[in-house]
Order: sequence, then structure tokens, then C-alpha cells
Amino acid sequence: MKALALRAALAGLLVTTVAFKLLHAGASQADIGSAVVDLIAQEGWSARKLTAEAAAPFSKVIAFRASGCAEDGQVYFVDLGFQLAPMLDRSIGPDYTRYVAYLGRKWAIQDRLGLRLEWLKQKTLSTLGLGRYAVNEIALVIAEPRACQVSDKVDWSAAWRRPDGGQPMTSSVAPAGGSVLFRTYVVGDFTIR
Amino acid sequence: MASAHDLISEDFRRSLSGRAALVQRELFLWLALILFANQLFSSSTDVVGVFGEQIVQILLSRSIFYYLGWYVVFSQLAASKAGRTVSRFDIAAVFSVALLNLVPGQGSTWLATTAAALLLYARSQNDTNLRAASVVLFALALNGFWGTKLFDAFAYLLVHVDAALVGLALAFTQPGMEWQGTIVGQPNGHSLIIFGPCSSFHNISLGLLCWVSITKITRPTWIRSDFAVALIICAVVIFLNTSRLYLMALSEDHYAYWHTGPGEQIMASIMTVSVLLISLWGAFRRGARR
Repeated sequence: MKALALRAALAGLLVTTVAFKLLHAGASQADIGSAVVDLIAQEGWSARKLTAEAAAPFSKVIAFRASGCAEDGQVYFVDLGFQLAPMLDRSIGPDYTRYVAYLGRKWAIQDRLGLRLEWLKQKTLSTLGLGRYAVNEIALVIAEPRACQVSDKVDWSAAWRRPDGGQPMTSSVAPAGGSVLFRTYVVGDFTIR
Repeated sequence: MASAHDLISEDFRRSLSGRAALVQRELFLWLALILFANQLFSSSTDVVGVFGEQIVQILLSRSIFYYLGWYVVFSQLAASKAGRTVSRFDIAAVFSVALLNLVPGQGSTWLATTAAALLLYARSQNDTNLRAASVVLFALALNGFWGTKLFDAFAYLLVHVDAALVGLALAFTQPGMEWQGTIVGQPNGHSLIIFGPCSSFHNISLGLLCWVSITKITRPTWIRSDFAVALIICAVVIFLNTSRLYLMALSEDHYAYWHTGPGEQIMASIMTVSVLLISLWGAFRRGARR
């Protein structure tokens, strides 16, 4: 009888855990693209998301024009390891300054360790139910013309902030056109079958 | 190699029928089943389509070596001599590990797998089959989770190593080619930036999973020369991966063929067969079997 009850409990555990996994499917990486557009729009600036072709090899690039500025700034979405750092060097012109924003912090340089530690801290808080952010592994690199450095006004951390304990702030924006800047190709996924 | 029927002992078949008391072996098999099911369905976030298609996509999203690993885990557990009636500690430990799957996030299933491997190892005593199952569980967790985390931490460095290998090969054989950081190719023409998913690292961990699985199914105990076989697998995977990157760097046509065209399938097949054959050779070579 005891053995039968144990087997029933184990079967119940199997069903419960799998059902939990299925119910929580889709709650993985938060998409902060729309939130970034909203933050820029809140300043009264124009924002446009580059097409996938124009943004390549980056997963996403948003161009913005601050009021009073003659040139666009850009927000690049990059992985925490900064594997596409060489492409940033090519994409961002010498007349531009840049900095990195990720969750609650900003860096003037590509501080991989600092980014990973920030991820670890916020991920731990989030797992314990104490976090303010929907933690993903995407950092923002903000580039803007040296002659018009105004993006510091924007609280970029709000892109990850949970407004109601759920997903970060979102809206929708139509993609805009753009051009392919380089003929450098990204070498992507390749695995043994 | 023993057949599946031989591996499943009589008392295990009796326990499956529900008549016998629950023994350690069956308890650990339940745990393995819970982990396997959770791993499969934790990958369902990227899957779209109707239910039947989703199941097929989930099954096809995994490497053949992943299933080989799980086959070895189940067969080694079934062949285990852990026939003692379960203790309260066993029950509490198995339930605790299984309940880790209820922690949100995809990593929880892999944490549970790692904890299960530790549990099996701790309870294995002189049971080589139970120990073999725990080693393969470790290899699965390394490939599915820890390897990725390790790679993320050192991605920049590891991708540079791949780029250096390709860059050196290009510099020696193709005039006008050079490499700078993670970019290889012609300075003012066709060039590649090598990105994490294409690094040799991921296929190395998958190759090692194949090696561990095949070695453990043929004999539960290690011998010293097994580790030389592992090194050969790493070298072959790096060589083939570098060769593919080299070919892609030659021109745009080469890139299209070897990146997403038939060349990708050809290279993946060559790598799969190579890893499989080396693992089989390592397991069955003269003097290796016991």
C-alpha cells in the first residue's frame, strides 16, 4: 500500500512539474525593444527601429534624434559577452561617444565582468522575488554625437523595470528602413545533429 | 553489448507491475523520468504550431547524442543492483530534487539534473551501473547548461581562439587575407565575424557527451586511456569547425554554401559520424573492454 502511494506521488510529481514547465513556457527573455522606444519618445525625441537587414549583425538597433541635434544617436542591443564588439567599433563613428547601460547600472567602457556581476545580482534578487527588473542578458550600447550628448537624461534602467511585477513596459513601433553598412557576415549556430 | 531485456532484472519487472515494494533502483528511475520529461518540455518556449507539430519540433530540437545519453542513463539505472527498499532519506532526496523543477526558469531543470547526478553518485557505493548513470547525467548537464554558462563567461576569449585558428590558416594559405580580433577575411572585401554559437566549444561538449555515453554503456568503469580518446574528439571537432569557418571566409558564395546551404549539413554529418566512430573505437578498442 505504501509502495503504491509512493508510486502515485511520483506520477503526480511527474505530471505537476511538466505542467508547470508548459504553463511557464514563453516567460524566458524579456523583450525590451519597445520599452526603449517608449523611453526615447517620453523625451519628445523621434525613434525608429532599423530593419533586421540594416541592424545586422546586431539583433536590434534603434536610431533616435534628440531635439536640437543634427544627427541621429543609436541604441545597440548586445549580448553580455560583447562578442560583437568589433562590429560596434566599425558601426560607431569617431565623432560619437558611447556608454553601456544594463539593468540598474551604466558603464563608460565594455566591462564584461561588471555586466555579468550585475546580471548575477539582479537574477538572484529576481529568483527570490525581490527584484525590480525583468532580467535578460541583453545590454544597451548608446552612441550619440559628441556635439549633442543628451541621452543621459534617459533613465535606461526603466526598460527592464517591472511596472507591475510582470513584463517590462512595452508598446509597438513600426520598423523603419535603413541600409546595410558592411559586408561582414556573422557566423552563427552550427551544431552536431 | 547486453540486450535491453537482459539489463532489466526480474525483480525490476515485478516492481513495474506494482506488486513489489519500492526499491532504490525504481525510485531513481522515476527521478530520471521526471528530469527527462521536464528537460524536453522546458525547451518548448521557442516552439510554435499545433500540438502534434510542437511535439515533433521538441523531439527534433535535440541532438541524437542527447537521446543516446538518456538511453544510457535509463539502461544503467535499470541494470543497477540498487535493490534495497527505499529509505526516508532516499524519498526526501528524490522529491527535493524533482521539486527543483518548479523553480521558474529554464535553468532549474538542469540544476535538478546536476543534483540528481550528485545524489546517484553519493548513493552508488559499489554499484558501478549507478555510478555510470550519474556520470552520464553530469555529461548531459554539462552539455545542456554548465557548458553554456562557462562559455558565456569566457565567450570573448573562446571566440578569439577560434578566430585565431582560422586567421592563421587563412594567413598561411590565402594571400591578402588577415584576421583582427574576431573578424577574419579580406580587409576591404568579404569578411566574417565569428560569433558564440559557431564556436567549437558547443560541439566539443556535445562530442564529449557522446563519448561518455558510449563508453559508459560498454563498460561502467573508466580506464586511463579513455581520456586520450576524449582529447582526440576535441581535436577533431576543433579541426572540422575551423575548416568550415575557413571555407566560409573564402568568398560570399562559400559563405552561403557552408553557412546555411548544403555545406552546413555535410559538415554536421561529417562531425557527427567522426565523433561517433572515435567514441566507438575508444570503447571497443583492444584492451579497453572488461
